[in-house]
Order: sequence, then structure tokens, then C-alpha cells
Amino acid sequence: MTNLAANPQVDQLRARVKELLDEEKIAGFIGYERASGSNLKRRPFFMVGADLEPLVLDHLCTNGLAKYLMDYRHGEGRMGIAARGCDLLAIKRLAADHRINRDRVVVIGIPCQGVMDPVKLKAMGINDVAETEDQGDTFIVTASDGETREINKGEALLDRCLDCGHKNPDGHDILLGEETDNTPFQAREFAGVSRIETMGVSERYDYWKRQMDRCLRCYACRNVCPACSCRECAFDVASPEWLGARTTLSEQQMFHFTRAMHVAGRCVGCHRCEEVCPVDIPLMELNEKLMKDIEELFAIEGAHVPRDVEPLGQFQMDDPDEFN
Amino acid sequence: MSVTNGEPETRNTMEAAGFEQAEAWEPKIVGFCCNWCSYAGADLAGTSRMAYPDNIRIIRVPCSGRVNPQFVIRALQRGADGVLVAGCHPGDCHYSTGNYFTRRRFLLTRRLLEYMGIEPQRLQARWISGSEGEKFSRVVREMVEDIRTLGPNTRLRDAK
Amino acid sequence: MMKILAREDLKGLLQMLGEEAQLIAPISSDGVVLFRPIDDPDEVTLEYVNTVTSAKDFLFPQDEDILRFESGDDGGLEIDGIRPVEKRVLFGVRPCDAKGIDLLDEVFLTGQFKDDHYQDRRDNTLVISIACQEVAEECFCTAVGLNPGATDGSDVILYPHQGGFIVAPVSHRGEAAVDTWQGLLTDIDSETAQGAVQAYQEKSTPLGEEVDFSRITDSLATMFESPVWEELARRCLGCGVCTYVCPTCHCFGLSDEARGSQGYRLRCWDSCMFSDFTEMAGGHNPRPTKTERVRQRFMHKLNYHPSRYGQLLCTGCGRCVEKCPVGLHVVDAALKIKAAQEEAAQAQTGEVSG
Repeated sequence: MTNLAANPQVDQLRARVKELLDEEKIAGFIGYERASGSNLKRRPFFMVGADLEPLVLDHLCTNGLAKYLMDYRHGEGRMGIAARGCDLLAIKRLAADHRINRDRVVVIGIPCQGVMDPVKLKAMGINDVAETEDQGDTFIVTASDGETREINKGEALLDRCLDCGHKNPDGHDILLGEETDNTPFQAREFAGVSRIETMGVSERYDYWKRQMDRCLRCYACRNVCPACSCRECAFDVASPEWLGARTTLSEQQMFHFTRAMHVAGRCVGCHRCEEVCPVDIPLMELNEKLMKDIEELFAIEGAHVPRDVEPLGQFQMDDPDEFN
Repeated sequence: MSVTNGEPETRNTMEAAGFEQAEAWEPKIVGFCCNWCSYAGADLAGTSRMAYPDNIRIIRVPCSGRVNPQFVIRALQRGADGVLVAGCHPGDCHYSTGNYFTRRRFLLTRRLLEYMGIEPQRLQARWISGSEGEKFSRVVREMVEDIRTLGPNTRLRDAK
Repeated sequence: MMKILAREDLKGLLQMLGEEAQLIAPISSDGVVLFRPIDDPDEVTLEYVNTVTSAKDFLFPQDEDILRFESGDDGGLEIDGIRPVEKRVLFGVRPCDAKGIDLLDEVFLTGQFKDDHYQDRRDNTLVISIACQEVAEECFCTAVGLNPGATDGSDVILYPHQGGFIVAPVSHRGEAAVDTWQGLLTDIDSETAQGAVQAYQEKSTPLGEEVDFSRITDSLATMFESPVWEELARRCLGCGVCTYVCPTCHCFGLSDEARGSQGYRLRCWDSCMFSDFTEMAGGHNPRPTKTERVRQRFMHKLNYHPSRYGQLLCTGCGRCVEKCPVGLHVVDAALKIKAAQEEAAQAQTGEVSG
């Protein structure tokens, strides 16, 4: 079991990628690099030529990378990618939906004990992180000027990491380092969903109305989602007009309701939708509601784990029936 | 947000329900009926002269499994106060398995609507066979009264 | 003699403004600060460096019906233009967003075609800005010729000073408005006031120090085929976050919707980032991949618009820097463009630098 302390990981990663390139096992690689305009954020990295210099791997590398594999599915040679457990679920989702060919991807899996939320760090006054270290219950962040600070993991983790039970990158081709303890920090309880379920109908309506009022219909949530990969998305179709262009409340509701139903049983719980939303709509509260209901109604464990046939694509004779 | 013409989206609920102040409101229900069972049942109700309220507008579909949850939303947006999805009894689907998918899908749809603050009684799904003319007319009568109690739908309405 | 508004009189001012016009000001929705029409001044928050979206929506709405049509029994078609007429006050705009309004004014109100709907809204809107006491990590207005105390686009600008606000009318409309506020204002020594205002105008933005837009329009003139666009585009998600949070993006689409015998012509925001931005009837799309669309975005902002109007289509508000989920923003583009230009220059002259 590895304690994910200091970050020799990036050196290991660079070495493994270089090996794969030298052995001609991959033609390209998708990872992470530092973002410009921010000393805190990282962004997706696409290897150009064989230049691995910008490649980084630390606890602020949080972007979803899996979906980019769709951009390379027709290229020559195989594509390498760095993936933690959540991104591997996403890769499995894309493969199950036949949107990528798993055989044409080489996954370097990264064991993970949680990554940090730049928004939470900013709120703590941290704006500059050059290096990160996982100390078990804390993270140590080092600024560009060398100053270090130790922060409580519980206060810094991305929400998606709190109840994650996929700390090991199952389904990897190559494992970076050693397997790590898969015990989740918190039980998977869908607390946000339960909170809303205790509200009265009108209170719920007002709550969602307030969230949807902020929606810009930017489609960042849809575009980043590994479960949203239709060749022609219903929302892009002009005729029939499934969704009008207006941002009236009823159209916002239509968008979010529809997308939630479309990914029901297929959402892998990666939280990227919520993380990319520019106006902080708690989208996982919708997706997790459906996950929770699917698990309860149809006796399915882990509705977020991709399977050969997803819950709404199958049935049981003895499914619950409220419809007499 | 919508700032059509610079005015914030405030609407009188009566106007939103789409009727003049002078008329009394009648529930408007859209009913998706599968061709082989529930539509036949509706037909039987008619030929047997079993009266059912004309608040319901029936749309015939090949199978209840064809009904997309988005139809429900659009119906409610475009003037319906309630939506009925009627299909064959599980096990009797003309296409063998269609209504099993309907069952799973609408169990979730109803819960999601409720979660978003729409009264779940506005969406009803029922199994009605081709010989159940009496059931069809009873279901419609009951649903009209349920919706009448709930009042006009104002929560999923286009501005126009 | 300059005037100052005490902090405790702000509510009174907002109430007064709200009597004559619809007040639009920043509110907090679950911690997200954005502009909304409000009835109760207590809802207004001043706890923000900048709102998450600009005030652009109130002059150039995300969706608006611009005409209504109805077919009559006689087979004729009745068409009515829909003209907005409500008076509004936009309160709490930052100098970068006010400059954004200024830039949109140029697009919609000058040249051969004046946009009636934009004109109506603009004529009926009083823009009251508040200079920036705090500068965010993502702000770079100073790199595009602005500063945290700039007045372009504002009718009145307030400079926070010792708890209150120095009131500086900017336009004629602003002067007329401030005349009606006199009961709420007190005098402040001119020299003190000028000093305070100057301090705002001389504030720097850290990110603004790191990026140089000074020759970018010329650099871009020869970069249409540059490989830099493909490099940038790889990580683009193709969403509309950047264009929608931006105070200056203004592409739109028109569509007619008819139901029965009635219909509307709808104008709504479009985004050059969407895959179907230039998709045409028949399926042809001259910007088929992210590369062409990303190129379009930055060429428009940094070359096409400046070539036509003499100003960059960017006010340095930093929203794209903050909100783009993959760090593909105008600062990154500027840095890449500069690097590419320097590389090309070196190659050309054969010089080796440093």
C-alpha cells in the first residue's frame, strides 16, 4: 500500500510515458499541465511531438480527461492517458457506449487519496501552489516562493472525493506506483439529496427555481460529461425543437430535467458537471437523486459503475409497480 | 434568466394557466395511450357509451414505451395540467417488453418531477387493457378530479 | 467642489432610484453574485470583486422577442415590432463592465445599421459604476488600456472612500441624475477627492503586468494559418462559458417561431464555441472543428474587431480566466500568440536571443 507522500509521481509518470513512446505503444498522451493566468489551477495537457516537459501530476490536477479520447478515436496509433479512479469510470462509460475503442487507449492508472478544490484553497487565502504533497490527513502545499502550508484534507478536498470508493484505478493498463487503501473518507449517503427530499413541494420548487434562474445554458455540464456523448445531442436539434433557445424558467427546467433523465443510470459520479458550472448549480443533487432511486427501486448496487447494460436499458419482471 | 423586453419574469398565475378571467378553469389532461391496449380500452368505453370527461386529449402511441419523459414536460409546458400515460399490463405488451421499460422509466420520472417541485399527481401512469373500457373511463374521471383539486399547473409554463 | 455619499445614505439613494425606474443591482444567489432586477434595496450586496456574469444581459438580452406576427382570417400577416420601454438603473457595474457597454454601444449603435432594440434599452438605462477597491487574481484591465477607476461607459461612477462614495458624474445623463441626488450628498474637498480618484486610476492588476496586448492586432494579421490555434483548441470543451460571461461578446442568432396563427421572432445569444455556430442549412459548416472556432474567437476579439473599431473586444474583466474549465482564455491566447510571434521573428531574422 502506498502512502501518497511527496510527489515523485510526476517523474514516474514521465518515465512511463517515455517508455511507451520509445516502445511505440502510444502515438500521443493526455495528461495535465500548469494553467496560465493562475498559480493555482491546472489544465489538460496534450503532448506535442514528444515534449513531456510541461507534464505535471499533483493534487490540483482535477480536470476530466477521458472525454478527450473521443477526439482521437480515428487517429493512427493508440492514445495514452493518465487517469485516476474517477476518470477510469469515465473511460469505461465511453467504452460501454461505444464512443471510444478501449483497445486503442493505454491507461496509466493513478492511485488517489483525494485531490484539492482550488475554490476552497482560494477561500483559505491560498493562490499559489507549485507543489503538493499528500500526508494522509493533510495536504502540504508549497508556493512558488518556497513557502509551505499544511491544510486539513477534510477542508480542502473536492466534494467528489469525499465518498469516493474508487481510489484505485481499476481497469488500468499500467499502474503508477502501488495500490492504495480504498476505504472511502465518508459513507456514500447522498446527503444533499436527502436534504431536498425533506423539503415540502413548494420549498423544493423554489430551491430549484433559484438554481435554474442562474443557469446560462452554456452547456459546459453537458460538454464535460462522459455520459453525454451522443453524435447529435437532443439539445442541438432544431426540428423537432426539444429545447427552445429561451432562458425562461420552463426551458431551464426542461434542460436540466432532460439531461438528468438522459444520464440516469449512466452517470459515473465524477462531479465534473458541477465543477465546471460557472454559476455553481449543484447538478450532482439531480444526478444523485436518480442514482439513489435506481439503487433503491431496482436493487442495484453502485448505479454509477458502468455495466454492460445500464439500469434503464433493462428490466426485471418483479420491478416495483406503482401503476395499477 | 429571461429578461424578455426588459421585464423580469413575473406572471399572473391565471394568465399563465392560459385562460381569461371570465371562464371557469377546467383541467386539461393529455393522455398517451398505447394503440393495442389502452387506446382500445378507450375506444371500448366510447362504443359502450361509458361517458368520460372531455378534459382528456388522447394521443395514440404504438406502445407506452414510446413515451419520452420529455413529452410529459412539454405537455405541462404547453397547457396541460396533468399527463396520463396508459399502457398494457406488464406481461401483455404487444411488443413483449415495451411496458417493462415504461415502468422503470416512469417510476423515476415521477420521482424526479416531485424532487423538482412539481406535484407528482400531475403525472399518472396506469395499465389499462383493451377490454377495460370501464377502467379507462373511471381512470379519466378520477384523474380529472385529482387535477381539479390540485388546481391549474403554473410551474412548467412557457412565457407565451 | 466634489460630492460624497455617506454609506448610510446608500439605501436611501437606491430607494429613490427604484421609484423612478427598475433598479438592477448585484444580489447573492446561494453565494453567487449577479445582477438582478430588485424591488427591495436590502437585497443589494456590495460584497463582490466582480459579479459572475456581466450586466450585458440587460442591454443585450440572452433571449428577446423582437417582433410578433399573426396571420389574419383574410390571409394577411400582421407584424408588430416589440420595443422595450422600461426605464432602468444599472447599479454596481465595475469599470471593466462599463467599458464593455461602451464597446457594445459601438457595435450596435454606430455604422450603417442601428439596432433599435439595443438603442431603446440603452436610452432608458442609467449606468452607475463602482470603482474597484479590490483587484482579483484574474483581473487584467490595465493590460487593455483600462484601470480600476476608469469611466468609459458609465453615466455616474462612485469611488469608495472612507466608508462612503465619491460621486463623479461622467455623462450628461449622469449629471442630470446626480442633480436629483443633491439632498443625499455632501461636499468633499476637491484635492482629497482627486487624490482618491487618482489612486483608483493608478491601481495595477497583477495579471495585467504579465501579459502584453500592445501589438497583438498587428501580430495576428499574419497568423491565420498558425499552428497555435490547433494547440489551443485541443482542450476546448466547446461550451459557451467564455462567451456568455464575457461583457463584450455579442454574436446572436435569429429564429422565427410559430404556433398556430401566431408567432415571434426571437433573438438569442450564440457562441462561436458551439459546434453548430456556422452550421448551415444543408449541413455545411465552414468552421467544422474546434481549431477554426477557437481561431475565430481570438481573431474576432484581438484582430477583426480592433481593425474595424480601433479597440480590442476585451476589457480585462478576467471572467474567462476564472471560469473556463480548461484554462483556455484570452490571456493564455495572448501569451501563446506573443510566443509564436517571437519565434517567427527569430526564425526570420536568424537572430538568437539572450
